[in-house]
Amino acid sequence: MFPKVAAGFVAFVSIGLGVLSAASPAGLIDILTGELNREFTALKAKADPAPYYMAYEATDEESDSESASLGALVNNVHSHVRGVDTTIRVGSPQFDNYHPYRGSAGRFTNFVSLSLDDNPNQIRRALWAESDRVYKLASRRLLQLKTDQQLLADQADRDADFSPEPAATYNRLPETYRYDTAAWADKLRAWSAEFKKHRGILGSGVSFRAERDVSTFVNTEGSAIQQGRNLFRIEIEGIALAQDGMDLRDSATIETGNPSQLPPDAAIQEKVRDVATKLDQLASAPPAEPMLGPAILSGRAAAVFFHEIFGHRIEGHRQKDVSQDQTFTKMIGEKVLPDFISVEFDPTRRTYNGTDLIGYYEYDDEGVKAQPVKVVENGVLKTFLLSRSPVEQFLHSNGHGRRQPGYEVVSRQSNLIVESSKQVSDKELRAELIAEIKRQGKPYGLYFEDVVSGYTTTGRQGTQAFKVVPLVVYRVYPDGRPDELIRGVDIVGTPLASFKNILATSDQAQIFNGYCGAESGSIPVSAVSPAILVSQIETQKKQNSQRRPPILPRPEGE
Amino acid sequence: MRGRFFAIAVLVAVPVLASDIQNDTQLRAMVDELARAKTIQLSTLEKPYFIQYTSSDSEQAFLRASLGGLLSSSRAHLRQPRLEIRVGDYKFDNTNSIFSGTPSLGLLPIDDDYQAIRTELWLSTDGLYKAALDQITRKRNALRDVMEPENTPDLAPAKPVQVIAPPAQLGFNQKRWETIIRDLSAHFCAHPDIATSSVQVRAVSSTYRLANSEGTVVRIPQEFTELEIRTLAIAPDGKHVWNHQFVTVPDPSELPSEQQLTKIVDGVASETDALSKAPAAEDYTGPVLFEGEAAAQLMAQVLTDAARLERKPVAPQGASNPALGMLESVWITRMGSKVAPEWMTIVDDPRQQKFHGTVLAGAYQVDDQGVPAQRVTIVDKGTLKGFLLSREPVGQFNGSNGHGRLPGGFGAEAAVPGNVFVQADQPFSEAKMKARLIDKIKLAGLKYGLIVRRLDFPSTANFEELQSMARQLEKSGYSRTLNSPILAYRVYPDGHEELVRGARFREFSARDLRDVDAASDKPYVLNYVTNVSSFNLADSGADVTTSSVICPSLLFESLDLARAEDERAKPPMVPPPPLAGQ
Repeated sequence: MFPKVAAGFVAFVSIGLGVLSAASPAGLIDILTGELNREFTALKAKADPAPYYMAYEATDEESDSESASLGALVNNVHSHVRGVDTTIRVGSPQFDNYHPYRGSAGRFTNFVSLSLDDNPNQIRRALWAESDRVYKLASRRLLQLKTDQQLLADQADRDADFSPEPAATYNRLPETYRYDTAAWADKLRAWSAEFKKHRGILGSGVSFRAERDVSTFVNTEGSAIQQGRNLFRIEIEGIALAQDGMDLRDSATIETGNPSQLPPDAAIQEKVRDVATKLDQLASAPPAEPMLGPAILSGRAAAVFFHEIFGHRIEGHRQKDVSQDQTFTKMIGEKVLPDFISVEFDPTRRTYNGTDLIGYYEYDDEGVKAQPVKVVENGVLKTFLLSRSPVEQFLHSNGHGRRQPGYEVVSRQSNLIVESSKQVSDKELRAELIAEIKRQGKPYGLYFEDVVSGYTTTGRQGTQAFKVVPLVVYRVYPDGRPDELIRGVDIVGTPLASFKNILATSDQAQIFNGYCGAESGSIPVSAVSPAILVSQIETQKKQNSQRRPPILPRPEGE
Repeated sequence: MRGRFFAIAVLVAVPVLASDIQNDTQLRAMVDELARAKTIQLSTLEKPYFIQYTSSDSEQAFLRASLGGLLSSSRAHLRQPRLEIRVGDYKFDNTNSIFSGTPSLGLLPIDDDYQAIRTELWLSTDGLYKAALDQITRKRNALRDVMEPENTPDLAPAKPVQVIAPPAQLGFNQKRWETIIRDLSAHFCAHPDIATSSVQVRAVSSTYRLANSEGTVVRIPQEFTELEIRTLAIAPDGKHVWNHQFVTVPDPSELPSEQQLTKIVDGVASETDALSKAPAAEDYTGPVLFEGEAAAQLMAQVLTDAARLERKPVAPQGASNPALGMLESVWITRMGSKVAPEWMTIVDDPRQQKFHGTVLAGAYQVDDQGVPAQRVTIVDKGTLKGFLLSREPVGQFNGSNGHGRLPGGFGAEAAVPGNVFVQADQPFSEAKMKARLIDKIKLAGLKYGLIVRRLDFPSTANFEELQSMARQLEKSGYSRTLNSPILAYRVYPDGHEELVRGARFREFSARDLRDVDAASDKPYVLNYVTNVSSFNLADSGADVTTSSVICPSLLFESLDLARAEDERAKPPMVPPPPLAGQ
């Protein structure tokens, strides 16, 4: 049971309180719209080439972050910034200044500071100066593109650059939570002090970050959208060194959009203890050997696996970019996954089994309404993740144009949800793994309990590979011996081959919340998946820094 | 400032008591861990011969406003450690080679938690000691192929001192200053031709702690507050003009009153309006009078380049040595020679707290290496007598004079000016200075002469301007120059003045000081924030400290200026939005 209001937090109604940063939200929309229309009208009348579309997206980010290590507070920072991203499209929707050319789609926006207090003079002047800068860049690139395009051999790709979408109006501000930084500092001190008991752990920390973002989007098609989110994040991290000098780390995070959903303090304390204990065990665990064999990926591990090897490859803009490998570009209607697997991206989903999904949003960064997108049905690829940049027969956005403030929008992931029609219980899945180990005559299989991150290369120049960095991996023996924790494993592989190897899934989904970095910056995403059994997975040895442990013993107390 | 005055009293009168250290958890953790660190040794390799722990416990506030709207208001509290672990000996150690350098370390806890602080120091010491062993080996190897390596020592000796002053406290009312800078910035609403403008305040209050293996223990306040006003306007021909004023004081309470600040803001605004309407400068060769502020800005820039020496790091044969790109001091070979007129004397005295009632930002008691500040005569009656030095030996100079105040390159500390006094024996009144300038232009048959009243210092040049200056430097073979004038006036033989925009100096360095014709009797006090780069860029994000230059107006016999050759940007396509009444 979670308490309704977590200790340290007080929720209060945000209407009518002058102290709030977004005290007059309507004011900001009006100022943005007014200047947008003035600029657009004047530029259309005077400028050559003339713009056919303009948009402003203002982002207000207020955050408090604190971190502690070994029972002592390390920092305490309050930050509040507001800035605007400016989009100007010149030319025509068929061919404009964002047209991709040899791997580059152009970069125009800057995150330019706006008044925190909705001061119209400052905001209008900043928009004016920035629009002028962006217009000049945009028109220069369009002229360059028109020449460059003629120098290129004819391309099969004749996709337009910008899709028509209906205008939208929406206004819903996130709750404002006030919380006690001193009380949180005390909690972090208490939680981080747990690491003092683990003398082999060299670096450790527990941090807390509370962030409230409000985005205000207006465009010349008449859209006016104001939305936002709260994000509360607790991060626990420890670093240790194995006897042979291998760096080891373990971490855990807790994310929620609503502080009342935070686990009780005792549960967080327990999580810190788990991280520390696991790290101690890892330090004395045997190192892994490279292998090719069967494995189970836990739900969280499988979620990251799908995010990396599948999710990034169905982002729409990659299908139009000739520098990309375009694994799936010509595979619409074809089988890309086992037929018992379906994959959906659903940014409208706030929670999964009671856990917040941080890839949730109402409208994307191009003002297009978020919508669930079934990308794979029964193993067959149906569509891509799309921004307002059309791809082949997909002429409209499906609400996945996203960015970090200061970057240009491209198609990105939201909440990835893997569904399976071949579900078995965890116990049965394990039995199937053991059967597979025996069938292949392998000494053991692997169980990936948790992963920290991954990356994938999608460019043509690199190899088409991915890497998932597991935190906690066990050897599973077919003879009934207990599972054995090992350290230093990286999963490697190539995407298409990996998908073919999925044999079955469990009936329990797990959730991975995290930040995903790509062309349009770092954005919050989620991935949900049941555990999967794969007939073959390739692992390699993690790089060993061969660091020598500290020469002097840890300093003793006074 | 109370803290600073108190610091002198402590330095001269009261010995540091063991209890001073005992009562300061951070210092105690530093001293205790240091004692243990002296014993660190990796198998049979050498132990450190010198260890220094420092920490800057700093509270910082930053506020920015424009046209009446608040853009930023933040506050942070951080403890940034810096550790030095040297292996070898004073003559030859792991620093001053291209392999040397100090990695950035994690923050120390802001809680006075003895155990947590010691644990951080222990881990950092371990990492830096291992790095030092690696660095000294690489340095030795690099020198194996060199016939007669330079034998300048690596660390100058210094007497241990103990100085304990009360810790600094940031007395800065954030809410009040939000209102003040909002109001100040709103004054620009009455100047619609100014394209962008801002007013910002940065208040930094640090307590600097140091303990080293020679027995030096220091705790001193290091504080500054800087208020900055900036504008940018677009001239009818599309060229940018900009203007600024900086007010730098040690403590926020010493900032000018709101009334005085309003006057400064209005001044910057009307100067900017005038600049945007002023005629563009032409190429010019002839006498130039630098009045008060501009003369002090000139000296600040020129002496930062000339009165400090940079050491070239050891590099293996054939390796690309970053030192090759370093511009060395134009005075490096001029010790004992005439570098300025006989009537000119230049002294750096960081121990002087005030000048004619004005607080000096470059005052301090002990530098960042724990060396007491010393008065240094740089130029005596025109003759070069000394350089500003840290504990990094350079050439024949092996002994700090208490000017090591910023992290330098390759594991060393950089020397920084404190309070630089430029004194003239036979000064003229300000009126006489202008008359002398007019005499000179008449004599030379020039149409007009130039008076410079403000330079772009610290520079607020935008990216395009910096690119354009880089192109100019490339053309002149990377010789030194001076930041561009912001307020430059043509002076005609009948005495009337005309503001011009877009003038730029050609080559200019401390060598030109030999051509100073006269100085006035009215010293100007310039307090400024510096990162000791030859082009002191405001808000560069690098480590900074504060200095002062006290200098009268200076008349130069003959200088070369050129008009800026930038491509002209097209004026904005859309007229600016109207500004609503304040």
